[in-house]
Amino acid sequence: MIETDVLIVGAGPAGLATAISLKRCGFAGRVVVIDKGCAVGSHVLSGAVMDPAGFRELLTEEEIAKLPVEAHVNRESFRFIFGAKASMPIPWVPPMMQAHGFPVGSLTKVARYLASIAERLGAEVYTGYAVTELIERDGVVVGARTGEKGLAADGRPKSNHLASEEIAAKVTVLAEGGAGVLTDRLVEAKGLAGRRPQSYAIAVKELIELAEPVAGSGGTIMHTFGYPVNLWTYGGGFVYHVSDSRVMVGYALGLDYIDATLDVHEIFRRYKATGAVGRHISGGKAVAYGAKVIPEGGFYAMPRPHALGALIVGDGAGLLDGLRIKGIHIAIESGIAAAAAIAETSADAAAVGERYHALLRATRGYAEVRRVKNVHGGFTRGAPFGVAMAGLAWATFGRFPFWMFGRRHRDSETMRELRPGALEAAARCAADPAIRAFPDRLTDVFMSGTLHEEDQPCHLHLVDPARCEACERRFGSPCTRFCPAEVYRRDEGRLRIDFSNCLHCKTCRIKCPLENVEWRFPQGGDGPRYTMM
Amino acid sequence: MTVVVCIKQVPDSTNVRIDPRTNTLMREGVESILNPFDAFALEQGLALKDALGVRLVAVSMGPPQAAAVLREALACGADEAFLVSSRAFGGADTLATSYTLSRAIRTACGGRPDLVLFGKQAIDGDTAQVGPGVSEFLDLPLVTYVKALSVTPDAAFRVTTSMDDGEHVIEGRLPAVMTVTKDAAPPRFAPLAGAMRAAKAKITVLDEKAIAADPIRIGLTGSPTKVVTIFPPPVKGGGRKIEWRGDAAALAHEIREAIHG
Amino acid sequence: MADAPILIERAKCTGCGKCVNGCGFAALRLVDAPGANRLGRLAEVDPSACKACSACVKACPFHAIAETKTEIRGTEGLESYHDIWVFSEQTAGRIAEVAFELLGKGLALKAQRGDGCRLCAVLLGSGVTAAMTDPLVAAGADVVYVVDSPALADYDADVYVDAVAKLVERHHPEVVLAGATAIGRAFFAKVAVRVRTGLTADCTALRIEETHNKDTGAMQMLLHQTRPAFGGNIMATIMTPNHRPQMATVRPKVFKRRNGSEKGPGAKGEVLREALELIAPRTRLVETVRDPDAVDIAAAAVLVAGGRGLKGAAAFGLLRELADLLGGEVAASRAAVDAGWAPQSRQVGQTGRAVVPKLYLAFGISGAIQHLEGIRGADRVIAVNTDPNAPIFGVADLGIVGDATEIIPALIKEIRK
Repeated sequence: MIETDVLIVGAGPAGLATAISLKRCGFAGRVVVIDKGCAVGSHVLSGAVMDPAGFRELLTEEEIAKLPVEAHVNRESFRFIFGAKASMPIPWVPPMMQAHGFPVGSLTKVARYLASIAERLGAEVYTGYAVTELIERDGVVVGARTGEKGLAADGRPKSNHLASEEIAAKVTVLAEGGAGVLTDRLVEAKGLAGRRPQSYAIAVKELIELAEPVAGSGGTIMHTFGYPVNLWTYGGGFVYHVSDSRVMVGYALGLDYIDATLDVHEIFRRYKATGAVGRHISGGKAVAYGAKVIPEGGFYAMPRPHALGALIVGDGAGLLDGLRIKGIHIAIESGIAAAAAIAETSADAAAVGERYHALLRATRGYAEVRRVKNVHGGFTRGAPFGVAMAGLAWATFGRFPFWMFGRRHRDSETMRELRPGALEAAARCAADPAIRAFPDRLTDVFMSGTLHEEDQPCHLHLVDPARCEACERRFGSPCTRFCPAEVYRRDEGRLRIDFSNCLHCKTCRIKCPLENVEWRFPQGGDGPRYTMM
Repeated sequence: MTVVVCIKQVPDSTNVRIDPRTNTLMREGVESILNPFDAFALEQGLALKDALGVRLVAVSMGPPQAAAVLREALACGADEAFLVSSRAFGGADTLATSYTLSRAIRTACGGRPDLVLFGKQAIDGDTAQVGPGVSEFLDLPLVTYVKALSVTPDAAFRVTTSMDDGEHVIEGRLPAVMTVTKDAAPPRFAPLAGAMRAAKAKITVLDEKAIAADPIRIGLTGSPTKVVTIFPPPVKGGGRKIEWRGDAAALAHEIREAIHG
Repeated sequence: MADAPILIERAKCTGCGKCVNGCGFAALRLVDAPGANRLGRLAEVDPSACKACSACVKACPFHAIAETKTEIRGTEGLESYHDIWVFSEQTAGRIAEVAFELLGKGLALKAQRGDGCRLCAVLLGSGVTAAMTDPLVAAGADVVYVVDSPALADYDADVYVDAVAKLVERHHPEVVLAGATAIGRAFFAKVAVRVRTGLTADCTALRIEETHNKDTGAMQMLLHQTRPAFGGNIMATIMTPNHRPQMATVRPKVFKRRNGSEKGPGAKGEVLREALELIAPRTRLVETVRDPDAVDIAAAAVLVAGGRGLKGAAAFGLLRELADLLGGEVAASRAAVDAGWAPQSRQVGQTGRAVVPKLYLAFGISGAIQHLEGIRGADRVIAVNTDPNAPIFGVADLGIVGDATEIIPALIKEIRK
């Protein structure tokens, strides 16, 4: 039995901020961070234009100066895209959206950097171990269990089987990111859910290397909305020049979409084929790819971020500014709050939760989430309405609208059944050679570096395989389209699951219209291997 | 009984990329990993430790960050770890590396080891020369491409090797040097408790003085082979594409040309 | 003792990074050095990655990088080394094909070397007969050195090393080549250590030409040995300027066997039986188990691979037939393995094996990048697919748009003729 004072599950910005802050505020106990990726950062992905507020609270000036980013935002624009050829700049970037001077770069690299600081300060960081279960005693979370390794596809132990290990912890901090499995299980078991179900967007991203560096382009960023989705679908893209020779291009699609034919990867390809994006990346070559979900349900979807013995930080607690789609700084602030609460209460499981919640409420990030509390609700009624409501909410410091509005559906419930011929029509559009010029899904999956031991139980468990056939008739197996990694495909009349392609984004768990996918943990160390995302 | 397993940190070839502008390898985005073949050698060593309670010593040669693979070995159950590291070893080819490692192995064991295990080859150089080279410097018998190994307490061994003409069953007595293939038992996983122990464990760094190396036989000086030029491999593809019109004779001719040409 | 093979002069380095881009081994990087120059950064070398190829010396526009001079202690009396040797591997009296391929190459090298250079075969075994030495002479060997001893009946690394090293010490060959077979790769590395020289494994090209020796300043006839490195991402040419012999191994099928070459049948060659005092083997070969089903597709010279386009397991039976006719092995794409048409051990690609055949025949394989990754090391690719836009055609030397299930039987029939 392993014993620690604080166990942090997840080595992203929230978890590492918790560890760094614990050591910075003089916490003498043992701090252990565990991540299921094969290395720190290998499952961390973001845009990322980072609001430096979080770093300023966590790091010294000297450390901030050494952040592994190559560029800071120096030119920013906002565009509305009408179609493949037409787009229009929004004449001014709304003040709350401005990011001038913000660092722009790879969150994977930033996570590695934060981990090196945490280790230097005395925290321990271990990767390649999936924490698959929380241990409870008398209703109090008292630690966690790691997943077994070396199981065959049929579940039998192989010659190199490694048993599960128990970690006893006074406080367990869940920093799993959006749609974390342990977090969601805890939220459900303890009734921590917010006033409306959490809603997500699936974001896909490529790192593109330009054929020739464009001097001075580093630091240029662009956000867009509009095409390729219609006004009733929540989605938007970004183009970030993270250096003179490299561009991050990404697209986020709200998973409360209703059209079963939508294909997130095809939308992404279509997006890159637009003139507005194309001129930033022409002649470039994609070298890395990744996907993750963003919790954007906002203030009302935030769960109570604690239970006895457990705290939830970062995206898992729904801490994201849904207007700016920025969460890194709030994740860091939540980690700092969690650390302060643990240190103040000497890791007392009974007292730490309330204290954390109080400290969290006092953070600027929390106020920010509150201020834009109805952003996403507005957008569920179409983009123009959403923009107007978001503006009003921001201008009134979140007071207007005073009530919570918008749909209260789970993302899995919003999809409409297919109309006959809809899929065929969508396929005709996708056959456009301009779109096919960009990497297909499998090529992108390859560039994510994702790998899973093939001889292990499938971690994407179908609750009832028969439901997939019903889904095929009603929705045309939308998992084959919303999965950004080609895990799901129809082959000879049945659904096949190539779990080894999985990017751990959890979209299938969220969007399956029949809620048929149970996400279990693959062997620790498996999954994407992001190095530059 | 002392068993030494030699392991190497290598760039993960699944991530090796070429800079599209300069056609050179890019360091960024390439992870460093334990050479996959060496994991199988380590497993054989750990199995001997389980069976006979041997002392298992892990040795690696490389820059300071190669300590990471030694920690992996310690986490899995190796007893001691030695990192052979010094700027003076830079530029070593397989001869200089074999010499340096053989000196380091003697130092690490305080004498002659009973068994030295290597992976069949490293995925960065693919030479498969260092294991045999070390066996020569240590004047020990060499058995290559081992897929199964058993040792009795009185140091008799019986191994199965994968050779071109099938499997060879070979018997002998330790001491010996062996290289292990990927057909051998799959490597075990390090328990988290082991990783925690390994994180704090001591790794002894051996430099040229510690191993009493002859300065003329290490590093670039001790390397007879010199890399003169490097260039990108010929670009594949862009070949002809034709419609099948039933001309099997022409296709058969192409195939014969490709095989025998 | 120099630290690294190259020296970067801080005062001259402008931090421009040209050397970083010029280095094929990623041994150079830029580090922050505020105030050192206008860009505030300096180039730094990682000595463990540096191969002293001097590409950076040429790449630096400011002459800030120099190779560090090292003291050389090479082989004594380089001039006494002459002739090209080919180790002729045999098992149970049968000489490996690769030996003849190397003799073919040896003829070309001999011509390049000139100056009375001879091509010699080295044959170890027990009960060596003319039936074994004649083909070597016919393939071009001027001399066949035979070591005949009961100790050499089976392969044993110790005894093989002892025999070859003693021959090298006795006759001073300038170049020694061997096939990169399981046997050749293992014991040759020991020979190189025993005679204290360099060895380059898995060469794909060899030539001898007059070369400037950077260390001595003299012009020399040197063996240029080219091999892939870093999983085939880079080719490197390597030389052994100051040590003899210059040793290299070559994979089977890389070079062509020359039939009816300059010497041809009836050619004259000397068979020299060498009496050597050999050490006793320290290990014992108990048995050899031949398992026709156990196959390592990674080592096959010809691969006949099938994918989803074969539409069923039946076509894999035909692939087997074709593979046997071509002396190759059957491989499969992931889709075919998933469908149960072929075992996982034959899967090529990211989750299967990486292969390096001389010829890769792809039938009904579309060529997802995960598959193409596995065949990057193939010399030639011939692909058959119904979809003219299949990515496999992007890497194929010859692409045939057509139905594999129709083409395979036609091909078998044709080759049987």
